[in-house]
Amino acid sequence: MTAEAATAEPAAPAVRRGLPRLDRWGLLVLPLVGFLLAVLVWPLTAVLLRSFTDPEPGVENYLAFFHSPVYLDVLVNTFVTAGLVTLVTLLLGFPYSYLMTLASPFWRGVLMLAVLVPFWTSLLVRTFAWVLILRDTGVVNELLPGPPVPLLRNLPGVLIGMVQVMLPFAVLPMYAAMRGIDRRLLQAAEGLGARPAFAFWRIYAPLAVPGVAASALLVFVSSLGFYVTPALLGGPKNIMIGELIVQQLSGVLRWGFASALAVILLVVTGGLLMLMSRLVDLRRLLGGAR
Amino acid sequence: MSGMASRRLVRASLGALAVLTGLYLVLPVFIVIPMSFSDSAFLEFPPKAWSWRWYENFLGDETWVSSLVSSVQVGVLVTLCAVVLGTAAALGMIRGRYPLKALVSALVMAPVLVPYVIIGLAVYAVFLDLGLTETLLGFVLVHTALAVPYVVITVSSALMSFDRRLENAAMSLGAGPIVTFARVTLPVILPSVLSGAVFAFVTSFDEVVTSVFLSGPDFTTLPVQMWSGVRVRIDPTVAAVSSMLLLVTLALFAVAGLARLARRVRAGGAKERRSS
Amino acid sequence: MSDGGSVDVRGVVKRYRDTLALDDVTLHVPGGEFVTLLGASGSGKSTLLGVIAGFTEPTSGSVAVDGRDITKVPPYRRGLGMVFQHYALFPHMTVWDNVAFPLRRRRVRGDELRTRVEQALEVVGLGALAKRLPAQLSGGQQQRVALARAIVFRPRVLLMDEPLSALDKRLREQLQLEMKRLHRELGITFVFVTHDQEEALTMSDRIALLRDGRIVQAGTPEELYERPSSRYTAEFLGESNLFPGRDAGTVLVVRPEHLGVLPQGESLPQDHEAYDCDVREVVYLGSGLRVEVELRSGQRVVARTAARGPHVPKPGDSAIVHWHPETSVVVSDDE
Repeated sequence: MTAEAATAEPAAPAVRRGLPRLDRWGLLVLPLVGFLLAVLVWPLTAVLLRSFTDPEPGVENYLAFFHSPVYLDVLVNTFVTAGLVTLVTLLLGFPYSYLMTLASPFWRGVLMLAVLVPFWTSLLVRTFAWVLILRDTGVVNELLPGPPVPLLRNLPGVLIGMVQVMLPFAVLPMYAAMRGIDRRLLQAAEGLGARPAFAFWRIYAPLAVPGVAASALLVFVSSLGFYVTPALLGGPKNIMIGELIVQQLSGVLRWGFASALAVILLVVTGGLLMLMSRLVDLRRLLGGAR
Repeated sequence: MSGMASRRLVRASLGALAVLTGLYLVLPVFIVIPMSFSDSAFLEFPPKAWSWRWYENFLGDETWVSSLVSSVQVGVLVTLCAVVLGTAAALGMIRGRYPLKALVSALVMAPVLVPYVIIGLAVYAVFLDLGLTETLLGFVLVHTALAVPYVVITVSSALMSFDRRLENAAMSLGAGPIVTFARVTLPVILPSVLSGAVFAFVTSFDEVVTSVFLSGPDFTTLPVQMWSGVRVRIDPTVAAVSSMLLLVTLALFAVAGLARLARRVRAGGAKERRSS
Repeated sequence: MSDGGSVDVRGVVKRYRDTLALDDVTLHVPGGEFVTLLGASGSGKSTLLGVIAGFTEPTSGSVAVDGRDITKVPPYRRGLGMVFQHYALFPHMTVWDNVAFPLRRRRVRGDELRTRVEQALEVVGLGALAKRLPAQLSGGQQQRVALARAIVFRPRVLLMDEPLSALDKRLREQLQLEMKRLHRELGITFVFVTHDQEEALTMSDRIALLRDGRIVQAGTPEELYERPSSRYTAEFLGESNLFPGRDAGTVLVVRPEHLGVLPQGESLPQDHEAYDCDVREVVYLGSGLRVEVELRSGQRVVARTAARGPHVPKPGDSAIVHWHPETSVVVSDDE
């Protein structure tokens, strides 16, 4: 009876005039909303204002950014790095997720555990481990003969580190999406005479596209804002925008310019996220993840 | 090549790729454990001589130990705040009616989606004016904001599958709203609240980026201390700290996994529990 | 005369935004009776139970128990027992703790608590399972725990929302008998919701049939079965045959067991009404025959006759279907 009542009541009316009122349960949302307005929204608004007012009112900070090849290079490098990270992550993650759908429960568990372990270990610890492995006197170069191969303070180093961080974020939603695809479709296609590879690319892959696209966007957007991994594994030639923000602040105290950089990064991130929210339920994606 | 054979080849290469990917995900982290026992300041691999010196170094150094204490303090307080705020908000979001629902959801998820560098910069600017940088309160406020979405996600998914007839049953049996929540609703969703709490603690305990902005000589957390130990020149103590963190994290999740398993066994098997 | 409380529902209306779940319902349940709210899904029977229990606030109208208006009393102060469709046992508590829950809310402690919980578990035959968790019990056992929990605090009225619908047929019939017994022993009022007309007929002292938020007819099972007031009631309870009534807007209802089937040419019993027909199907039921015939109009009619006798119909026979006018009922055609 209450089930009936509960389903009947929220059945949204066709036309809703004005905003719904707050009920007693709704009040419970207020403390968190107030908290986040104070700790998050207010400071972010201050950043936005500051980017137009510091050191003096106007769009100077933005002009400085878009007129300087050095800073534009950082932006380009940020996008290129994030793009490469996304590409490599998908190239490794797609077969991995696909294999998870085929594997026996035991091996599926093993593969899942392999994804979850890095998920749960500290980002800093993992990045530190990469430093120890990739540096000139590191594990890899100790084991390899000849002069040390440069693997640290350059793009390969950043990629190795970031892909490892992003892989779980790609595999979990892709696996969730692929698990829902009916594999009998493949058998049916092959039964109708399609070659396995053809059946895979024409039947299976298109069905997996939404999950893959969602993962790709999630990885790309997250990569744009990375700081720790590129700062430790990257070199001066491949600075990302996150590092530039910190540099401008801690080095030269250019508050207004750092704020403008933050606004640019936020606008790009926000725009992509809005695009993504049309593709997939964000909360589910994050809930399935960490 | 026959269809069967080529399919087997595809499967085998897929398998090999997956195994390599799995090793790439798991193995590198554990390299820090043997290296942390290296006697040399260069942390060579494999270590030529073994010693506890970096662990002793950690325990003997006031700044390291106090940063650990600070991290635990912050983590515990953040867990409390995030669980209370997040559970209340999840209850409101799942059961309540309130204006601007989409906007509120976006706001609650924002801390996960906005790059931490931006949050760090923004909060630093405001906290500097308020004198909250390098304080326990400042860290707790920021980390709570970062951790709270995880609590909201876990608790609201538990509430969505919660059978509200249990609450009606409790009321029909004479329990008022508060008793009903305390004796029926909360115990049933407790596992999710606890897993949200673990998420919250780990989020705070691992946080580097915003903490780098907020810390200073007066107040520093463990990840910041580690950060400065690797940023310019590698302090081998970081290897010892990393190894300890690694073991603690893994132990935590092993315990959580076992607890879940035990609950399933208890619910499924015929084990008995004391009644009153 | 009994320990049961009377329930009075007066003019209750429940409106959800654009639908009317209850449309001016008035119902009197005398103390100690077993009353069933019967209806198809969406008829409003569960909503009505929710209004009595206090989970659903009526848009207008009132509810009283023993003459005391409880419309504004919250559910936890109404003191009515309730059994839910899917049992609603607390999954984190043992059977014992589930049953003790309402007593603890009433500050019953110590020996009294123990004896009363044990008694309640005895009544439903589950004393041995006190330390189990609900997940370790079968559906039937869970339902018994739910019953024990709802009666342990001695409510004067017990509300039940389709309590047997999730059980298989055999178990359902067994529990129906147990509930009848419980009703007799406890002497309290039972208000029972079901969509199963057979269940309603076997268990109830009185049935209220609901449709579209209104009570179509209320009365004893015999009254509803033998004297339906409308075509809807006649068709909802048991099998019925409908013939055109003499006046517009009416139909004639005849139950299958009141119909006879005679070979063409046999003489009819005195005063009987009759139609010519062809026998289409004959099914042996053990207790008798189920004979389906087709009238000249093409309408199919079902009769129940004795399996032995001078005239056992066979498929293909030309026949006459007949009945005594007193066994037929003229009802309004509300379809």
